[in-house]
Amino acid sequence: MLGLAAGALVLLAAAHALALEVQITTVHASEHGPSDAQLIDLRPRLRRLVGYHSFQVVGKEQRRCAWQTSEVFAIPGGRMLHVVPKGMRDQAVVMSVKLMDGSRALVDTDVRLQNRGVMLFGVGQDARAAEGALIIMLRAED
Amino acid sequence: MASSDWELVQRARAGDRDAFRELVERYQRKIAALALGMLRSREDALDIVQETFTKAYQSLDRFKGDAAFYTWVYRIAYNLCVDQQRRAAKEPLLTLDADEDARPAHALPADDPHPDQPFARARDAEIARRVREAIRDLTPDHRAVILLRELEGLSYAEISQVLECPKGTVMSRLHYARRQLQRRLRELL
Amino acid sequence: MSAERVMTCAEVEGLLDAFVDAELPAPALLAVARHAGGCEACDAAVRELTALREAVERSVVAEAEALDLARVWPAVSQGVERHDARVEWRRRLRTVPAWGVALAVAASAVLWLRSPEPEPARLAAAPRRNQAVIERIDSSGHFELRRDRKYGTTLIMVSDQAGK
Repeated sequence: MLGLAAGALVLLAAAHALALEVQITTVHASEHGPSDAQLIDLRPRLRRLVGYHSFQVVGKEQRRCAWQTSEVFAIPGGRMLHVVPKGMRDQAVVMSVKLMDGSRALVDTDVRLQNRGVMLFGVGQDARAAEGALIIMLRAED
Repeated sequence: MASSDWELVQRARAGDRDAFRELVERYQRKIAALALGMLRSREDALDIVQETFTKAYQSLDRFKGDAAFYTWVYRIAYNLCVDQQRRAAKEPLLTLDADEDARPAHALPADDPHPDQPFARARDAEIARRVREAIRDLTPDHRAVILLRELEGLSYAEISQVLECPKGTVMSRLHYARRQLQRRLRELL
Repeated sequence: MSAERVMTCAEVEGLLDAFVDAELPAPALLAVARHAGGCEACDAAVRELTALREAVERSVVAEAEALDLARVWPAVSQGVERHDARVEWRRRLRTVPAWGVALAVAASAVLWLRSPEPEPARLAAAPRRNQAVIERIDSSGHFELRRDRKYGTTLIMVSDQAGK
């Protein structure tokens, strides 16, 4: 049993070296209501950047994504975020990111994001939410 | 008959969340007034109110009752305001952010003394704005003593507990702060 | 200080703040009141301090009363629940047997030994923490690029018109 566990750990460690760690946090931004306590430190910057008042985490997922492979993250509200990590260049992660609503690409972009950095995707005027916007925080680390 | 602060604290410690809620509702407006006077932003002031009571709940076991509950809560709020000011000093706002004082107030005060006199109301609003500006131009230490004394009516001894400084320091800061405000606002008052 | 002796303006000046704040002992309070009653200058000084208090009160209280505090308790309540949950979790952790803790430590040690070497420090000017370069972008709707000045955090804001 212990041998099996050790073997699994070794395999896990090997996979660790050949992939990108991607964390997707989805936040609902609105004008009213309380903010999530875990976002308190980020709130002033989110307000300046996004323009809303209150922020609630509605989804969180973290995954190791293999290079050159499309990983799909389900975003609350029925949309999908497709991430294809392509490689590293000058300490930045090169990747393609597509935010899909059914077959429509709300945004389709190639980015170079600083390693361990965060970028945001926002969907405003959201007819699906009662009011406010959906903010998708993408963090990538090799 | 309303429960005393100490009774509510003891009940909250025993798990009675309604008791803590009563404490929050009893003092949230006072903490909001202090935070609003200390900081530039209504939104930051509201955040301070929330954080103050969250922190108070987390530290409830450490409250010994040797000071009044409201004095203890003011101290938490004051320290949070100071931390917020330090963070804001390191992280200047983008130029797109409007100064909240430049916007007209969202609502008239409930006891508007000049309901039918728009010019008098506008003049009062301008005076209030300049008073707030003068208060905010004081250093945080001087701003705190003015707000705790003039707004919250705390005694010198209570202020010295909130700010954790000697009573003599409270008195000299108050003296200085008042003279500064009087110089700024002489023609208005 | 005898309540009979009339104070001088110089003596009163130093006590004005405490007088207005009712922080003087009764005999001194009476002495200052008596002096101010007969001295126009000191009386004016008392009135000015009182006017200042009223102005401060009016200017800040009006703003505070306009604040909507309805969302304070819901936010505090969330923090209270989180705190209580953490306290409960810590209480339960204290009951975990020692062998469970040892196994967790051993597994962490293996993972740590296998993890890649940290990147060596670079001497060149460091890019901002969240810097993102957009090399290409397309959208089926309207989009807007925004950037946070200090950390370089990029936001691609899309306006979803489909639901309309």
